[in-house]
Amino acid sequence: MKAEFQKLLSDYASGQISADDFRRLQDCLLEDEQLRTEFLEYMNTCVFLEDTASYSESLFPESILQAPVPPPRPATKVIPFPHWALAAAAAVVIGLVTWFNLPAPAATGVPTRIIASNNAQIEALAQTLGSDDTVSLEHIELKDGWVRLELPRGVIFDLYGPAKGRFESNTRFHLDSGRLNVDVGPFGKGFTVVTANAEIVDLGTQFGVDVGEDFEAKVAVFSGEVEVHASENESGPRLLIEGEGVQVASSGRESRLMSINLPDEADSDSPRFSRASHFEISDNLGVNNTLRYYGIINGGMREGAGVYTTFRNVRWKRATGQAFPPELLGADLIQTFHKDRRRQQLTINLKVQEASAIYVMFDERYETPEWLGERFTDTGQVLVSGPWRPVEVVHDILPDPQGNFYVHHKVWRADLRGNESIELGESINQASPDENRAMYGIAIRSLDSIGDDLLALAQD
Amino acid sequence: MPAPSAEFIQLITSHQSRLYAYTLSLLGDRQQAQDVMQETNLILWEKSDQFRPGSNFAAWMLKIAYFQVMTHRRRRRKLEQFVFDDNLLENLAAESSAATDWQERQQAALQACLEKLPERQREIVHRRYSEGYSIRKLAGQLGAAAPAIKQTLFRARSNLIKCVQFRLQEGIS
Repeated sequence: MKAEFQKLLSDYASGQISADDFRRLQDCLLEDEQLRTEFLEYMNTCVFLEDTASYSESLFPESILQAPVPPPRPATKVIPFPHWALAAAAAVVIGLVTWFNLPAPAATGVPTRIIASNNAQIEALAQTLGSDDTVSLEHIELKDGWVRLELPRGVIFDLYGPAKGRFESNTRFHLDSGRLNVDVGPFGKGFTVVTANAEIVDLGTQFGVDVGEDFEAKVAVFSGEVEVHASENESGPRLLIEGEGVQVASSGRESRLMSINLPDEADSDSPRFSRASHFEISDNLGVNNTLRYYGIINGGMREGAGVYTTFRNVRWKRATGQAFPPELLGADLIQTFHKDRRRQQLTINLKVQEASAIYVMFDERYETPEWLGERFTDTGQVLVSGPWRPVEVVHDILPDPQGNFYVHHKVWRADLRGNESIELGESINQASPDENRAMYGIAIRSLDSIGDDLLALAQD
Repeated sequence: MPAPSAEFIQLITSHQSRLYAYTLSLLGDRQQAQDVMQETNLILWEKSDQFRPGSNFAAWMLKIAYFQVMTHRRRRRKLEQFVFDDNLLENLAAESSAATDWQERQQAALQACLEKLPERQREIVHRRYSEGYSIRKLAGQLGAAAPAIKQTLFRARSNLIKCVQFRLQEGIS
C-alpha cells in the first residue's frame, strides 16, 4: 500500500480523519478496486481485533498479559474526583453556615464568574455577591458548602469546603486543601491544578483533586485524560484516563486510588457526596496492574444505575416482567471494572463496619464459581445489565425485540457481622476461559436498613 | 410473530462481528455503526420468519444492513460531510457482500497470525485493543512518541492482513 493510502486508512479506521483526507480517501477508493479490497480487509481486521481481543485475552500469550508496564517518563500524578452535580451541591449548601472569603480583587486576579443554581443561596453564601457576578479572584477560602465558578476559557471549577487555594494565573490553581472538580470544556486544555506534591495537567477532561490535612493529594479522572506530575517521582509524569485515579502522599510517593464516592446520577437532589462509607473495598492489584478506581454510589442501587466505572452505557435494569429486587433498591452500589471479567487471580476484599448484606450480581449463563457458591446464597432474584454493544460479551445472547442485548445476572447474598470481611474471587472460569461472561456487580446495605426499607415498600 | 428458530438464533449471534465490520466500513464512525447494527438486528428479528434455512444468511443480513446504512446516511448527510459518495458506497457494499466467507474463515487464521507478530507489535495490539488504551496513553506507557505507536499499530494490522491472506490462500487454518 502506498504511504499516503496507509495514513488515510489508519485515520479513517480510528475515526480521526480530516475532511480533506476523507475526500482523498474517497477518490482513492473510487479509482482503484484493489484499494477497495484492501480497505475492506483492513476494516475487517480492525473490527475483528476489537471484538476478539476485547473478550478473548487467550489470544495473547501469557507473557504479554503479564508484562509489567514499563517505567513511564517522569510524571506527575493526578487524583480526580467525581464531578458533583450542581443541584446536588446546592442541596448540601442549604442549612450550612458558609463563609466565603473573597479578598479585594487584585490586579493579578483571575476574572471569574460565579455560577449557582439558586441566586438566593449564593447571596447568603457570599453576602455581597450574586449569581453571574464577575469578580477578580486571587485567593479563595471556603469554610463550608460549595461554589461553582466559571474561569477564563470556559473552565468550570467546583470547590467544596472546607477548602483553600489561590490562582497562580488564568490557567493554574494552587489547591492548599479541600476538594475541587474541574471540567475544562473544549477550550480549557492545559488547565493545571497544583498541590504541595503534584501538578495535575488537564489534557481535555473532567477530573477531581482532593487534598487532605496530611497534604496527600488524590486525583480521579471522570472523562478524558490528565497528566500527573508528582514532585518526587523520578520516573516521570503519569497519564491517567477515564476511571483511573492515584494518590500522591506528602512524601511524593504514588499509589493507586482504590475507590471514590460518586454522585447519584438518578437523583439530582442527592446530597450524597460524602466520602464516609460503612465499608471498605480493596483488591489484590497494584499500581502496576491497574489504576482504576471502584466507584461507590451511596444508596445508588436502582433502575438505570451504572454497572461499571467506565462502560457507562451498561446499566442495571429489572428483568422483563419482574420488579427491581426490593432489597437491592437504595443499597450502596459499587461499580466494578468491566475488563476485570477476564482477570485471573483477582481477589476483591470487602470489610463492613456494621452488620451488612453483600450482594453479588453474577452472570447467570455460566457455572457458579466456588467462592460464590460457598459463601453466598442465591436469592432467586434476577437483574439484567445492558444494553451491551452487540459484539462483545453477548455473542450467545439473542437481541430483544428492540434490537438490544442484555445479560441476566443472578442476585447472590451473604450477610456479614460488623467488622467482618469477605473475599470475592474471579469472574472468569479458568476451566472455560473462552466464556464471554460479564463482570459481576456488587451492592451493599446495612442489615438494619433492610427491614425498614422493605417494610416501607410493603406499605407503599 | 413466531419465535425464531434455533438455527436463526445461532446465525444472528454468530454474524455480529461481520455486521459491525460492514457498517463501520461504510460509515467510518463507531457510534453510527453500532446504531445501524441495532436497527438491523431489530429488522432481522422482525423478519426472522422470512429467512429460509439453508440460504445465505450473511448476504440477507448485509442487504438489510445496506438499506439501513442508506437510511441512516440520508439522515446524517445534512449534519456532516464525512459520508461516502453513492457510487462508492454501492461498490463497497457489493464487494464486502461478495467476500462472504472471508470473515468466517479468518478467526482461526488471525489467532495464529497474532502469535507470529513481533513481540513489540503484539504488545501494542494487546494494549490498544484488549486494554483499550489510547494512543497517547500507550505512548506514555511505552516511552515512545504517539506517531511511532500509531505507525506500529498500522504495521501490525497490515502484517496481520498479509498473514491471514497467506494462510487462507494456502489453506492453512
